[in-house]
Amino acid sequence: MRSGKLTTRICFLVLVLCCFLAGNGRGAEYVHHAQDLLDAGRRTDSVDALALDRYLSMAGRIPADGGLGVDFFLSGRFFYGFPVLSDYGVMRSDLFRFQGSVMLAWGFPGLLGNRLLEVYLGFHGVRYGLSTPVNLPLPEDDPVSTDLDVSDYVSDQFYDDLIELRLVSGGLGSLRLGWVQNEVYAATLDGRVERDESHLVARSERWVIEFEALSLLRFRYRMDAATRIDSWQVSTDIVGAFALWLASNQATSFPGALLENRNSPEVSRKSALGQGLPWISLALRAENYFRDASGSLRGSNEPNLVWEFEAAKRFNLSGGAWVQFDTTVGIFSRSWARWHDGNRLRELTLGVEFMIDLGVATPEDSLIALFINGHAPESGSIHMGYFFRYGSFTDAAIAVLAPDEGMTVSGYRIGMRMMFWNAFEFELSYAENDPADLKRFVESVGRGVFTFHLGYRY
Amino acid sequence: MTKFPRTTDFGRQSMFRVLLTCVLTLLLAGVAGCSYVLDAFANPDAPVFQLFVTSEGSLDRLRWDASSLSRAVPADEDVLGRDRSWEMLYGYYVFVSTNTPYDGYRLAARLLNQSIVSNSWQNHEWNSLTGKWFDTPLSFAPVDGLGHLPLTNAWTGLPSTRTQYYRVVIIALKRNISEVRNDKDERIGDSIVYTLGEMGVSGWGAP
Repeated sequence: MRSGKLTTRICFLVLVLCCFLAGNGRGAEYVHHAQDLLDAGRRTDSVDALALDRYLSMAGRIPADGGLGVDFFLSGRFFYGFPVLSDYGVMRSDLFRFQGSVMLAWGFPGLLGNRLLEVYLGFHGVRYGLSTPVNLPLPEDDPVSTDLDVSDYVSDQFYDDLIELRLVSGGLGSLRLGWVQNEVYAATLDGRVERDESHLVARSERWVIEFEALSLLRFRYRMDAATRIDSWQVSTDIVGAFALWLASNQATSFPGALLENRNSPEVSRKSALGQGLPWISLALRAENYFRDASGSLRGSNEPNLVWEFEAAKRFNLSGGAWVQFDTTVGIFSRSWARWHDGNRLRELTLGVEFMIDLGVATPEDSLIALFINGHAPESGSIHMGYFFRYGSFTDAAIAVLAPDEGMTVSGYRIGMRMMFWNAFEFELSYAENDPADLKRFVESVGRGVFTFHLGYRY
Repeated sequence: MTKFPRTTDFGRQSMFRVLLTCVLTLLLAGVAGCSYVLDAFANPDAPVFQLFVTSEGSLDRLRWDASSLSRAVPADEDVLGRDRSWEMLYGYYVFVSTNTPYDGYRLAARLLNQSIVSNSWQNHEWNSLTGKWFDTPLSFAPVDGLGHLPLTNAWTGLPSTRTQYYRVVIIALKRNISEVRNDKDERIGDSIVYTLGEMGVSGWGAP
């Protein structure tokens, strides 16, 4: 026991060292991946990502005989460091990001072919502050051209709210309806932002519609009447389902296995990883953003094709200590239009992410001992874990982009997590180039991010 | 070291649960208000004033609160007759972008204080090489084709579209007084230097 604990601690220290070394090697040449927050169609992703994260947190937790569950979640992120140069040549920097979410879930057994019908009602909100230096160039012969420096930072704050209703019948399909509101408030006189009409810069609303059937087809549509931005996505998880069927004993045919499946793709992935089974998925996603010319900052159409390949496996070790590995490999090939000149760009991107969870169980069941010694109790009432995630994101230009515009960005997240009675969850972490953000093409590249999570699930 | 009770000690564990639940609840409640608390110090680079843009007919109409800087030329001397530094409003620069609210700006208009533009100014500085004072005449009148308009905290200009973003910059004329001393640290006099400088950038506005 003693030697195992020591070995685990040594491994942990080595990983800490590795992550700092990895952080030093991050790509300073990052140039073109950060999404512009004004791109309202994709700005929805911030709150959408939160909604998906909370759904995944709840999925599979409702007992087969039904019942009611609740998920309460708060998180905050604090950014520091230097602003990044976005793909549109705009320097910008997040100051902070707060996320809050409440999700209610009901389970109704014995419906739809003796399946469990799950109903999720979620309220999600994201608030984040943006700081962007703005260059206001002056004519050469302007009286103040030599003395005036108007490159300044300005701040706006964004509020994204999402109300969603999700119906899930495991294995059969799911339907999701959501309503999103995006608001932008400008900081004014005293530099603060008040959420009132006088500070409101822009407000837009949109509907989100998703349905998924038998893992065969996933359709997602967003409609934004205010900014006249429509988008749709079509994807399939059928390859992953087929791989799982091949890995099984194949007692029934593949279509029969699809019909007999009682899990949604998300729960299938979660349970497969939880059981230590390999998870393979290949999703082809076709999407298009359409913007009416008068309401668009971009061109009228932006079709994208994305292939996502994921292979993951978790190694669960029993005993006094545990080490868990999650590995995800993503290959993204997409075609997209640069917004300010409409040039068609093609990218091939390889993303590798692996996560390691470390923990030690000891007879000591003291909360103070947890903080002092980092020991996790064995009683099951309080779990404590450390986690370390490392991600590398490589973007290899294959066509229009010049080779020097490709990028490789590596990052890590390290933190601690405590779970109380399988209901309360508290997490503190620090990341530089958060691997999750790298994969999602969101901001926070090149800077450190402190994050806390507080959650309650029942 | 405080021992956490074993699972058989239900009473103490229950109390501990209640206590911990209270702590976590307080934490959650506190955190919920943090985003507002954060405003107090997390917007260090926020715009100093707001810009209101509306469409009037086919043109964009901009207005903003007037700067508190003096429009009249302040007195050059204080009550004791000594030269003093001061700042006054030179004018407003209006920038427009058809790209995004954050880049692609160009100067669209100058709204300038006539009392500065029409007057002549001169710096009074010490040349340590020659050991003499010298004066440099200055003019703050624009000479390019854009020209300038009378000073006001409103502007009506470009044809209205949905993809135009505006920002307004406050520019001040600053009179800087600095004491000049020789090698023996003896006071020779005061140099007077006039400069133009930015005194605030508005948030972005769009019709």
